[in-house]
Amino acid sequence: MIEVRGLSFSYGDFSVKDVHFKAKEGEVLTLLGPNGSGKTTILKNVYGLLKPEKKCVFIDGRNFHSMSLRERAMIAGYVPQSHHPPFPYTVLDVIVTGLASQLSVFESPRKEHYDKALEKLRLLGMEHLRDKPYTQLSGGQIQMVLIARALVQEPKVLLLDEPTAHLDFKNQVKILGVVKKLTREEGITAVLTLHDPNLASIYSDRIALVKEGRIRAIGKPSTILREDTLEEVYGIPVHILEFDGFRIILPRAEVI
Amino acid sequence: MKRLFFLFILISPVFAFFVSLFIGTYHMSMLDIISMTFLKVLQIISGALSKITLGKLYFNVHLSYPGVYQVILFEIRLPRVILAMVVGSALALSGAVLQAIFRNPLVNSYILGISSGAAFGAALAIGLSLSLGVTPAAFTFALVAVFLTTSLAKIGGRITPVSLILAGIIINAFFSALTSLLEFLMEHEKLASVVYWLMGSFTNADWHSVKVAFPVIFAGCLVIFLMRWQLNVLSFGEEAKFVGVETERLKFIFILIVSLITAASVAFCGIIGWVGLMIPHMVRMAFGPDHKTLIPLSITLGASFMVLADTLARSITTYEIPIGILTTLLGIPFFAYLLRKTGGGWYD
Repeated sequence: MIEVRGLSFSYGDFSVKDVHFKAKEGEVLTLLGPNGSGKTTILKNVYGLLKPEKKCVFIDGRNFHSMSLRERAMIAGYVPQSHHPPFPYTVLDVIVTGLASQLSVFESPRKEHYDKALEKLRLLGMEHLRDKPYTQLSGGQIQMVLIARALVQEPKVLLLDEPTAHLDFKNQVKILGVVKKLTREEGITAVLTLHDPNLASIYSDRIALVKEGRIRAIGKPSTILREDTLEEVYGIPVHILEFDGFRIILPRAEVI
Repeated sequence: MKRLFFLFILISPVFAFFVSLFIGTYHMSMLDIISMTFLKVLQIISGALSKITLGKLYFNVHLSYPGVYQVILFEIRLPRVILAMVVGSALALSGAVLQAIFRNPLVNSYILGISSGAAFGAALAIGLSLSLGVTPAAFTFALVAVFLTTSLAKIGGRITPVSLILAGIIINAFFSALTSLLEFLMEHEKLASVVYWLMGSFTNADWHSVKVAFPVIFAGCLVIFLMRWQLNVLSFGEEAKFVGVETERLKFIFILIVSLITAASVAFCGIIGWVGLMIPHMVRMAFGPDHKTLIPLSITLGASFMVLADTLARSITTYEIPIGILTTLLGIPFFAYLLRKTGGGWYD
């Protein structure tokens, strides 16, 4: 379980103010909001890549920001957004870097570590990619590999920054499906950022609506995704449809 | 096939060592050189044993070769071969490390300002006839330059690839200007020695330089070899933090070691370009980017390449060619070929 108690951060004109949320074991919590609303900033603050004003993040009751990077990596994984692969490492070589926190600086990964990396790749159904150069993968495959790299850390909490950015429709569905599956089958808590309300609606257990660095509302998709709240956050009029128990959000005809 | 090639590169320094011992302007037969080396090793062992047993000799080895043979082999060629090998390793390794941590294919250890700092130190020592000597002055100013570059590049507690390169350009320009000023003010004979020093050469190699350079470079190579997998992780930049690596601290350790071994190299043999850039690229193109293999192979290929280039430099003409010129001229065709064939093995 991850708990954020009053996270504040400011940089220049931009500020994140008094963010509170909790996410339980096996839950998908989505920070939903338009570009520039501060979702990514919040996520970076939660991991401690940016320094919030006070230490206010707790995982299973332990103060996350009092831990070293190594200790943090052992309980939480962070899946970054945009990504420029530096060298054409093989997929397995990339995933095995996730084990850095479990090896001393003088150690190199051995067979058991590569086996573990392979096991996570298999879990995501991407085993055939193991020896492919990382630089030749598609955007969706890169995202899968980054998730696998976070999974070898055996995290309790997974933070994913815009996991569907730059992906086509099929890959968006595939990635979020994997995230959902991991929470259900492995009991991982997932906190992710999205800007598409429909994807958030389908895959989240709970949604936090983010605007201008503040959380405007938090709760189940069925209670949060309302015409008035979405219009306030996105600044455009929307229709909400119900289909198969999911809420589907359409922009209103006049803005099209 | 690849496995064999891998092993060949890994043990190539052994062949390069003997080939370089055999060749030289003063002709000695291969057999003589082998038996002299063998006897000398025995002599050293027997000497060491007699020290342990307080003077009692177990076996007495006598080298019945002319004194000039022994001087040329053991006082001139051997230290020079060893120095060339350790310097080649140091430069190639440093290039590989910096290319990884700054994620930049154009980087070698000279980007840190080491070369221009060392050049200034050497010019200062020669120009002012400092009693300190060229080597310590070059070493000191090489490290001063690294310190200035990294301090300048550190913005908000971090050294980014771009800030490092810009800072390196600034510091290189600064010391180059100072060196030019010294050269401008210098007498002609001194100017000639500065220019020659800048071209790089192992002419002054002796046991003293080996005794100083070898331990520094050996220790540096060993530590980096042990830490080599961290370079895979660090080459992901900021992302290394997500897997639990304190990137800035680790980068600092790598830069410190690389600076020491490069400065120790440059101080003894001047500025030998191109090796630090080329060798890691060649290994990467042939064996891929994993630093688990890249680091050991850069060390061994750097050693072999440098000592063979130096052997050519001292033996193809009666007058010795500065090795910096040779490493460049030899390296370019190889490198060009690999570049055309593999497309660089970097970004795709």
